[in-house]
Amino acid sequence: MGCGSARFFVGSPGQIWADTALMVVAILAEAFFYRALRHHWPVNAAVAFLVLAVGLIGFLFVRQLLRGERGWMFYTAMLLFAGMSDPGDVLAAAGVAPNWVATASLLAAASAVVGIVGAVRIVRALDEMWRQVNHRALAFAFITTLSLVLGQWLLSRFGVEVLTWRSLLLLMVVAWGVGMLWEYRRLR
Amino acid sequence: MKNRIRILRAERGWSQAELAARLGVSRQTVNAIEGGRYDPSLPLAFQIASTFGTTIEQIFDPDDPGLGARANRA
Repeated sequence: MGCGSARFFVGSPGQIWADTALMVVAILAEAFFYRALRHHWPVNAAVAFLVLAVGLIGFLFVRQLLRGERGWMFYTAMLLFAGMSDPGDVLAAAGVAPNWVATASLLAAASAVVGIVGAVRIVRALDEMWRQVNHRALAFAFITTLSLVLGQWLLSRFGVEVLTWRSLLLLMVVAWGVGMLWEYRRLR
Repeated sequence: MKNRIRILRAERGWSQAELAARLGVSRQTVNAIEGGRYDPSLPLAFQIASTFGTTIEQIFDPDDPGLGARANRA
């Protein structure tokens, strides 16, 4: 029952939202800068993309580590995954050798695994009330994502592509954060 | 569920954070239990009672007055 280190959430349910929001803004900013620059300066765009990703990962990593929180592993992995899950787009446009593309793909796969391990570590550190909140938030995120996937599938039958599969993943994480906040507000 | 945790805690001069550390839960959980917005599990209720050196019945009081009587009859 007890968890001597429920530190991830101590005093910081709002921090979950803040970190999730920061991660989403970071990924959107990365995508925006990359798309804005890639046609004219593909190499610069790829470098700026990676520098931004590494900078934000470093920021989240150091901040959470200094606070003794457990979320850094999850957020770092999610940012890495978002940055590396489309290496063909980023690195091939930058004219990077194919073996680097393969390396980036491996890094994306590894960061996905680390992200899952990080999420499990977070959940294991929760006390019983936060586990209940988390379970409800996950249920909310699951239903939201399932609805979006079904809507996406239906629209794709008519040739309309609204969301990429990557953005669906991102929305699931956002829905998880929103669910956590919503459930916590109920208990405040 | 109503409870006397706030009173017992005040008697001992403990803050919510201090009680949370003793119970191994977050401060928000202590706050939610005190306010009656979250009902603890049975193991946590026993741990709370043990921390205050009393029994569960002396700390927790069901909102429904018939609940205790029905439980006693059963």
